[in-house]
Amino acid sequence: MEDDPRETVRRLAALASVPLSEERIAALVPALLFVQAGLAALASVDYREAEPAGRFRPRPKAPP
Amino acid sequence: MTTADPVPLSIAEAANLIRRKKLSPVELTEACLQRIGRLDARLRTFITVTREEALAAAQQAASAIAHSDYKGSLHGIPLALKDLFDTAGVRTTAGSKIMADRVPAEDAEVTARLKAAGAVILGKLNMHEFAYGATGVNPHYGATANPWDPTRISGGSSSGSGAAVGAGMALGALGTDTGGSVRIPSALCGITGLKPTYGRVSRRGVVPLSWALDHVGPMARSAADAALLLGVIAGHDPGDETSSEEPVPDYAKLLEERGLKGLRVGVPREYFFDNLDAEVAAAVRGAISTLEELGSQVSEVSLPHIDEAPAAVNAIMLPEALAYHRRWLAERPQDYGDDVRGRLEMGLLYPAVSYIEAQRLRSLIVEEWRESVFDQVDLLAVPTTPITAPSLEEADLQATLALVRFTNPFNLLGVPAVSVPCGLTSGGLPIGLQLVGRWFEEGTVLGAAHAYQQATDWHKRAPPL
Repeated sequence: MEDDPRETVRRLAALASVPLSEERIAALVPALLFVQAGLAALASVDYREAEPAGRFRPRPKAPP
Repeated sequence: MTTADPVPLSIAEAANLIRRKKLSPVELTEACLQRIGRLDARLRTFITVTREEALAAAQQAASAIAHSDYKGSLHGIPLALKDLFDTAGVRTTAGSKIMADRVPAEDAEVTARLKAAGAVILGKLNMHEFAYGATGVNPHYGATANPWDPTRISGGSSSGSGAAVGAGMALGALGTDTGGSVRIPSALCGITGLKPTYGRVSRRGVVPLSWALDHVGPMARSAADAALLLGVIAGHDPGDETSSEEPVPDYAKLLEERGLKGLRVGVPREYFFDNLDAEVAAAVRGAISTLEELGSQVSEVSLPHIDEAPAAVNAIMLPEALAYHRRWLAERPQDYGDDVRGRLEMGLLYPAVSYIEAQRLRSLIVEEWRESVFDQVDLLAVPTTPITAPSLEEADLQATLALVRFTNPFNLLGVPAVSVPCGLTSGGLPIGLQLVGRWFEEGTVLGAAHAYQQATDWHKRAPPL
């Protein structure tokens, strides 16, 4: 993240083509901390060979 | 008619009377409409009441049954739908201003299945705007009030579904659940609500919130009623890419076959009993003791990656919701309520890598729970919510985060989870017990819930309306 959190929010919104007023940008700045905490949690996981999820299928039943 | 007030009947009881021609669907529908007329202004439960269509459907059901053309347990039963399910010719607002005038040409798959089973649709239920919140406080259609205490929220996002069934306005309802939106209002309103396995019930014709996490589920007074509803709405739909081809068992039959005897019930060592209301903890612990008395083997279990699960849910839900809403958010931001607009804007902050990591975590957690949790136990028993219904004034972001804490991990996993009433606080507010099973084992989950409800009467308690 950049040093200026407002600039970070402004650039992310511009990249997504969602215009935000300065007031809305300021309101989003506190949310950055919440998001960063979540991203840190995800970054801490050892994913080993896991690929992104597909559809869920039932586990094959063990023979009786 | 054999009963002075048919509204307190369960679906199973009403179906039995209707099948034997002891109760007319018209009389039952009129009783529900009367109750809606008496309570709806106070509880803000419905967005649209389809009175004429409901009476016509009830009349049609009565006529068919009179000619011995009985379709089954939902024939002539008055139900209601969260206003997220498309209904041909009847507006479907998603609880929003943006879709306020949207009238779909076709029914959602589940709407069509209910109609084909002969159900009577009473109308479209209030909800959190675009299903994006857990409180049911809606700036466009009003905050749905809790039937147990109208100064409190009913929970969301299927707020009207919870309140309508809790208040006896409908015998059952459908809701959707992306982070707990069936189970939370079920817990807060003292009813039974099931989030089935991901892919078990079609989502075609349902306004999406997050494609990877959205589930459709039944809400009713009992597990037996939820089983009847699930039996009709479950099953493959080629029009929904995530729909499973797994065969649909006879849930009502499984209910009788699968009790609690010998079932291995796991109580998590971590996460689910941290930071929760003392009365909730006591009620859920008491319910788990009852499960043990009824023949299950209770043991402690550890849940891999449970602490990271909510972060993964957010990293999937927020970008997916933003992707669906991006154009409206850019062009009509003022038409969203403040909380939903803020949540959509928050989706801008998630980088692509976190979305992929969250999907990788989803794979990892599914495999690890298959191997190390659901090999040891058949069910998990946990609280549905850590708190009971907050007041309307307390229904803020903190309340939302608390309400979803025990439900949203199971959206990531895609496993079936039911909330059943298991107590009342000293202030008279309902408490929910959540039972969670293996993928596609709704029969086991509902069977355990049914066995619990055969031994207790919390699901039969009615709010003082």
